[in-house]
Amino acid sequence: MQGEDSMDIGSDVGVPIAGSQLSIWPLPARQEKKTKAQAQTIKIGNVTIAFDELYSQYYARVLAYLRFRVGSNEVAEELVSQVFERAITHIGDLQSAAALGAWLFRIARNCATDYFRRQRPATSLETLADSCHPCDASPEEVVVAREERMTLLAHLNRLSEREREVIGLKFVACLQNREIARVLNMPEGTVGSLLYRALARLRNALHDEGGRIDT
Amino acid sequence: MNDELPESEHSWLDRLDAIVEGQQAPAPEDDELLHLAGKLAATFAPLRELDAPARTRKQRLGTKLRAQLAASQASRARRWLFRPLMVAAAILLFLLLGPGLIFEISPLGQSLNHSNRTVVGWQMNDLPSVDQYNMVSPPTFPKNQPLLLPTGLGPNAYIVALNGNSYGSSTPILSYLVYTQHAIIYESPSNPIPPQAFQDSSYQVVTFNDQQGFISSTGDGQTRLEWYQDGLLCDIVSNILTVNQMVELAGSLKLTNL
Repeated sequence: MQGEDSMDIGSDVGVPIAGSQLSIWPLPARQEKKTKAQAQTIKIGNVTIAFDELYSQYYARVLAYLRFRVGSNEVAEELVSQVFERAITHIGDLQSAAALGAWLFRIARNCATDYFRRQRPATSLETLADSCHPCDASPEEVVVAREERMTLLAHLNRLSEREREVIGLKFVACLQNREIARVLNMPEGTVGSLLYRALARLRNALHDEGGRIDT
Repeated sequence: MNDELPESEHSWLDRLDAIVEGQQAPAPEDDELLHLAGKLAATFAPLRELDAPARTRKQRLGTKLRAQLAASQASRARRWLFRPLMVAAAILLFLLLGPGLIFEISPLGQSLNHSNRTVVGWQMNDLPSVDQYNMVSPPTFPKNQPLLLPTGLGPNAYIVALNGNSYGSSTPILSYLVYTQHAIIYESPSNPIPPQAFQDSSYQVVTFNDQQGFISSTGDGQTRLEWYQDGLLCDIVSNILTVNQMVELAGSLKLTNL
């Protein structure tokens, strides 16, 4: 296809000898301008990914993870911008598309860490209690569920930083264990053990408080 | 209570993944931790939901990032093109100018190669090595020098090279090289080829544009066409072009005053 916008520099410099197939001047391949409608793509290693696909796939998860880490919607939205801007700037450094998710969450983790260094806020997971209700829940359901969540989040607060981190990456960011291992730079087996231990400690804490887990 | 991962580690982790991803709900036979995991997954799922203002902000950020990505890619492409300046210049030379024209003066050309033109029993002399030709910049190209050039070239589609050394002669003897994609054309101001030269049966005589030329082979196996036109003794040498293509190229050259 050769549209009106296509560049034809061959006609300026091409000199085919009359009556023969011989061309003594190379005819450059025709180039076509990309239309605006064409999706923007990012090349990672040998894989080309549509930017919109990447953005849709990760935006909400990264935002949720940041909400979990910083306990504030406003700050999380500010940080999610930083995460994607950093990602766009440095995505050329990424060698493998398989590592994209872990790489993005590592940036998110670093952004959250930077935020804590700057602000040193006294964040508490209980602040998320009001954010953590489904959009379609009735007011009664919201009230009841809120109490349960407050208890759960309060106990999560008592876990170690590393345990909370792994809980966040697993249950909020929904990462696979191998991705969590990449984010936290630890063996995948350690992630499994950490998850199990964190859940066990959480369960024990709930039991100690007289709470119970519906089975 | 035991806080260690059970021996059936893999199946427990697989169940955990299925529950977290919402593919399966915790079953009655699952242990308490998997039920707790189901509760955590349900608790945090709404964090991933975006309300209308959040969706708007997401869209706005997406637009900004797309622009940033486009700028970043354009910048990267520019860097890729311009950073290796010398390489790029060489590539440009090859792509645009390589098949064009390179001219140069060889002070020895005429006297060395065609000194015996008038001798009966015509013999084509060896052509000088292209190493004897040096390229120079266009501003130093001799003015109003008529040369036979391929037609239809763009105005800047050639490079001029000049060697001003007279090699001991009182006046420099000029000869030129014209590089095309598949052939080199030697051109030297000269006297016409004597008519008796065409009686020599050693060479194949070809005719084009009402003039005659010789076909022969060079020492290194290339095909050579020599003829005289417009005050210039010309040779086309190529190991790619057929005789017919060389004749066609010779016939298409046009006298041009540079």
